[in-house]
Amino acid sequence: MEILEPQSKRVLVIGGGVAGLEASRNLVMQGYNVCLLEKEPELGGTVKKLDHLYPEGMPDSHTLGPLIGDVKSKKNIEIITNGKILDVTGDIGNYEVKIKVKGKEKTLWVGVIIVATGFKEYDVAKVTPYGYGRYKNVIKPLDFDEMVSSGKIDLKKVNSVVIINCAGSRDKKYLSYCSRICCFIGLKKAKLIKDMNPKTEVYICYIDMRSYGNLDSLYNLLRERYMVNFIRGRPSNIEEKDNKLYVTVEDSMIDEVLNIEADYVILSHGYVGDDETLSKLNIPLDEYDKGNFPTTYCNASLSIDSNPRGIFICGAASYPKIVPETLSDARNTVLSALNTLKNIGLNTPVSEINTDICSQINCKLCLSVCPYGAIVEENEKIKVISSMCMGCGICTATCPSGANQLEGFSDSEIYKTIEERVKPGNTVAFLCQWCPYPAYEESKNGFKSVKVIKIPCSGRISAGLILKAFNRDAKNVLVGGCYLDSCHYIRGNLRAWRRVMLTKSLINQFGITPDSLRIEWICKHETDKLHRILHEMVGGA
Amino acid sequence: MPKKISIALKRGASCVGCDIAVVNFSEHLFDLLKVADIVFSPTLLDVKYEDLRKMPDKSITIGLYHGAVRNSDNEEFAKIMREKCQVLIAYGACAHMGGIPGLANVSNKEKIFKTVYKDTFSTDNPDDIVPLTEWVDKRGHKLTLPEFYDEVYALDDIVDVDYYVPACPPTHDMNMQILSLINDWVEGKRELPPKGTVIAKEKTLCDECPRNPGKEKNIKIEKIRYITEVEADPDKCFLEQGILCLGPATRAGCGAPCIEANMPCRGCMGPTSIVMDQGCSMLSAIASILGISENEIELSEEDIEKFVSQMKDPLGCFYRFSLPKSLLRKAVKDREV
Repeated sequence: MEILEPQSKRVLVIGGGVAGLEASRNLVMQGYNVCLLEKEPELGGTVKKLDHLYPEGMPDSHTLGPLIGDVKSKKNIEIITNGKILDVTGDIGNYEVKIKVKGKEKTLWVGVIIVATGFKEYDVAKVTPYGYGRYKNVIKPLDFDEMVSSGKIDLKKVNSVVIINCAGSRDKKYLSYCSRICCFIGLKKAKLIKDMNPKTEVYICYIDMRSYGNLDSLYNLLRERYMVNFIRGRPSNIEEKDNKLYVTVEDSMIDEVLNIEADYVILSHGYVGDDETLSKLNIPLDEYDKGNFPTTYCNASLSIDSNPRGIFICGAASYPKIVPETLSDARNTVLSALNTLKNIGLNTPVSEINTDICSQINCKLCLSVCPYGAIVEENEKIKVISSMCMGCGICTATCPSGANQLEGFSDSEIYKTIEERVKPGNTVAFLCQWCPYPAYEESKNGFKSVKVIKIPCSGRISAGLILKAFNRDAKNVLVGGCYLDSCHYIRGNLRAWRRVMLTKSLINQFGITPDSLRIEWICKHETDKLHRILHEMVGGA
Repeated sequence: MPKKISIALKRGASCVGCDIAVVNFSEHLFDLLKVADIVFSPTLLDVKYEDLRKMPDKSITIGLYHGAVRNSDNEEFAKIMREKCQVLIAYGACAHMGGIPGLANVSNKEKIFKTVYKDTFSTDNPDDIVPLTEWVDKRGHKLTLPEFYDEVYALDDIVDVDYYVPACPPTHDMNMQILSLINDWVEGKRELPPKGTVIAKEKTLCDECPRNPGKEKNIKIEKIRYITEVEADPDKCFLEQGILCLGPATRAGCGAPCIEANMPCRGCMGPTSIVMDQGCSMLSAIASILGISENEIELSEEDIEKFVSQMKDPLGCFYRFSLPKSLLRKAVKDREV
């Protein structure tokens, strides 16, 4: 059998924006070690470039500032800035990530990768009638924020601004889809301008106002209180004359062609996925005019419990999101990643078949009980597909030839544990690692004569293990499993149930009262139930 | 010609089937006699126990001991055989694992005596006389009997054993395997196998079963059938028919003669080299495939009990030949019946 490298539970978070920071913070809070990789010299991502957040505050004081502070104060985060990914190889639990930091190459070993690389701005220069790149006062929202905060634009001296929503979006010539957040960005800029100088005339050209959810309150506020001019129409052309811009637009509400004079035109353009990192991870992307986002991959990983590849995508890397959505998405992604991370250690043991003993295709007992179809017939041999094996040990407990043994939980290993730990008169509790064992740990009950043996699933229990405990003069044996409908390995507890019941009638023949062997279903929170059962077993005659 | 080796045969608690099994060397017995002299065998030769006692230690090359150790006489001669023989072989299922006599471990001396000398229908014993180990008559003559033990032992529970020949009884082919080992060794062609070797195969019986590979993709048992109650399909795997067959838990090497005779395997060859307890291995396997179905999750405790209660006498079925070698060895003594 090939020897696997020790599996890593470290997490690589790519992208130090809001999503990456929040994901890192949550992972560390769960006790995992994180490496946070940022390509820029500083953390903060897109949000750092914003002048204002909605409804209030600046990035430095709200959301981003505290987030960066918190992340930097954590011990278990290694922050790498100016880092660029060169190559990613390996598989879940064993990723080898080559990066380049300030000219030097470095290798990271991680178990799971979270991609929080955010989005890219659409190249709005492609929308030629708007003249971006040609006219210096036709600008993008992020440029505008930068120019305002650096003082290049003095809003007090600005008389008129036209904001064009859907600049290039929902247009088959450019981006055919809606980028969700650009309407909101347009509204936000309008409010910023009006707040600074209520006398500035602000026009917003829109096709449909998609200020979803509570963002609609901003739209109503601007309409009713801020006196922003809303024009339903897509501008057809912009011209520059004597340092002034002239925007031609047909307002379909009043059926009239307008020519608006403006000092600045802000193009609220759409967004596209950041393909650079994602394609290095071999994640399939949509076509460029459909956004270049990893929609298929994200949808597939949402539809099942865990992500089979151990690569999770969060924040605006999957599609454009506003800050609150990004934060909650980061937390959700961490939850899915935790499922995978927890399984990394548990997935390590797989069942192995000793081909010197196994009669191969002639006895199909293990194959018949595997809940995952991980044991198959191949070229007249019985084989465990290790990537499908979940390590429950149901087959090991079934195999009567001893050929099938689960790594780490083989018969001989558990026999040895029993041999070493069980003293005459003890009560031996074989507890499934998922529910009964955590309940036992939680209860911290001090029954000295109870010896607990953790097994991967109650389905690992075999008559042999029970008899071995009685062989060591155990007084009682308890098998603890999850409730019948909630086995973590589908049907392990059902197999255990039959084995225990049949073993009861066997020990009866050996003169051991069947009541000294019990099988109980215990939920994680049922510490009292477990305590009561153990109390009865320890105290009972 | 190399010097002839010597062989001794001694019987313990045995049905004498293993003595017959030696005869089952058939004409090859002459081949054996070409290289070996049988120096002690109460069944074949006119010998007395004293003859064996007087032989020098390690003077016999190979000793075959068959039968379990049930009383003090068996134990004494197991020890004498060990002293006199260079190589001691536990021959047959009883010496190997306790065998059928080993099933007496569900009971004990007191209960067995009560049943045999008092309770059986045909017994007329108004004075409740049971065998004693020593009795002196009025004239001072002392009579002794071996002591009947509470428990039955396999040979290696009592003395160090070099090799095991399993099965009840060992087959002609297995005898031939021993013969060729002895021949090769005598002629210096190869060394004897490592100590502790079971002279049979490593795989399970299914490996040499003529009914395999089976017809079904999966094996599951809805209803346990007994070979005494049904007419078994002579071509279909017994387990697929719901008939208990210990083949998957049993070492191969016998050539599956029982299966050929349409009888399921009862496990006389013992477990594979890595299994400690043959009976509970097979019990776990049978329990695991009992009543597998799509909606098995809806079954109640009563349903499971119903499934399990189909299995009559699990101890007798699963430990027919190996009870003294099981993890629990014997029934708890102070059991209230």
